[in-house]
Amino acid sequence: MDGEEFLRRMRANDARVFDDLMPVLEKIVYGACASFRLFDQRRDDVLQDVAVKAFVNWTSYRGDSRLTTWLYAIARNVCLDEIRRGGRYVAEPGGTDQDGGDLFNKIFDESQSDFEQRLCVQQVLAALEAEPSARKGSMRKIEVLMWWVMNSPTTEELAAFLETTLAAAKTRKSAIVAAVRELCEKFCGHNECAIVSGR
Amino acid sequence: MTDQQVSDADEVFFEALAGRAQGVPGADAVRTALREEAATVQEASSGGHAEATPEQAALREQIKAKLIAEGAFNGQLASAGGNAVAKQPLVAKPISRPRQADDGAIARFFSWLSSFTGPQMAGLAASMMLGVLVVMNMSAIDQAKQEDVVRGAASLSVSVADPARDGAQLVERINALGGEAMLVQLNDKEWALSVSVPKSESIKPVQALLQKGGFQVEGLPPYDLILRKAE
Repeated sequence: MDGEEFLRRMRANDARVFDDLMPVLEKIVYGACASFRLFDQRRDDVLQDVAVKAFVNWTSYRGDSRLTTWLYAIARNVCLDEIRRGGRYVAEPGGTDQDGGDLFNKIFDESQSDFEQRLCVQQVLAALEAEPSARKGSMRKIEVLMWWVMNSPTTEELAAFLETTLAAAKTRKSAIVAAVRELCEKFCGHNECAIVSGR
Repeated sequence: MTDQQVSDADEVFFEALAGRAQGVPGADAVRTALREEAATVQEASSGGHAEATPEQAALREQIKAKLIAEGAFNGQLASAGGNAVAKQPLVAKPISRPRQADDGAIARFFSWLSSFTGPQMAGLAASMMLGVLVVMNMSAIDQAKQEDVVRGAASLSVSVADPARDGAQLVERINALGGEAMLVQLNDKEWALSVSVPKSESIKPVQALLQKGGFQVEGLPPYDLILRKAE
């Protein structure tokens, strides 16, 4: 289901859209929750909150991004709220597997600083996601950043993608780096989003 | 702004975001997060959704109730969908299952399950089969050559504080690595974890994950494992 169909069916009060969208929503929420190490009941709580935000506040979807991207942005914000409310998942002490450790920690092998790194970056991305485009019809910073990360292009290719000049593409790069650095400083305490252990 | 205003540090940072520069851990973290997001969105958009488990169906019903209470769809949501899945008998609790499986893999799993726990579990396994049959229709795996390969050691087990939680997390990780895992609660203390790996490139990562979790798997999959609640 694309965004246009979602909006059309929501406007028509077509309740079957719930059944059609839930499998998609579940995959998105489960994926986002995995990034935040949220499982079990907490993940179910997130799914419930995301569903309510998507189906009750559906008019906040403007159709200017993919439906799945919008749903992921909601899921990320709800996961962040859940972490703020309940903290990080911490395995029970005195683990009981064969080596006396905890299976969860072995699976994820993640230190507190790794988790802090993950968390601050997600907050940076949530803030970027919330930024509107500078001009009507122009791509938002988060969209350009995503394309850059996924395609590893040259600046010339970025210019072609943005349908602009090389100089304008370089300007855009600078603006994106500046915005990311500012948010990294705000959420990670470091302008390149680095987390220093023991900070 | 001119080229001169793009500092070297900015350029390195942006190059690291593209994966072309090393030693910028923050940029690596941003890149990893964005790639995880893209992978999740891509998978969600790709269709091919498995039938809801009884737990998922029950949760959907709960969410429907909440949406109705919130006034979504002007209350029409109550008549949408149905409760058929939620009313399925919950004799054995299939906590998680593979996204794809074939007849052979499922038959092998139930054969192992019944041999492990005796006649009572065979009956239980048969009742579970009803709930899992739908997965068989999704078969896309060619396991024709599997009879020629060496199997992994059977019935490897670990004792953990919370087998349901740890098992569910393992299933997620195994699926993310390209494997297929099914977790079934056998009794109050034991959970069976059946792991197959249809993609050859996923075998080593799945093996490494299981070994990290304490399962001494050797040889090629499939693996039949037990998570036992620690006393």
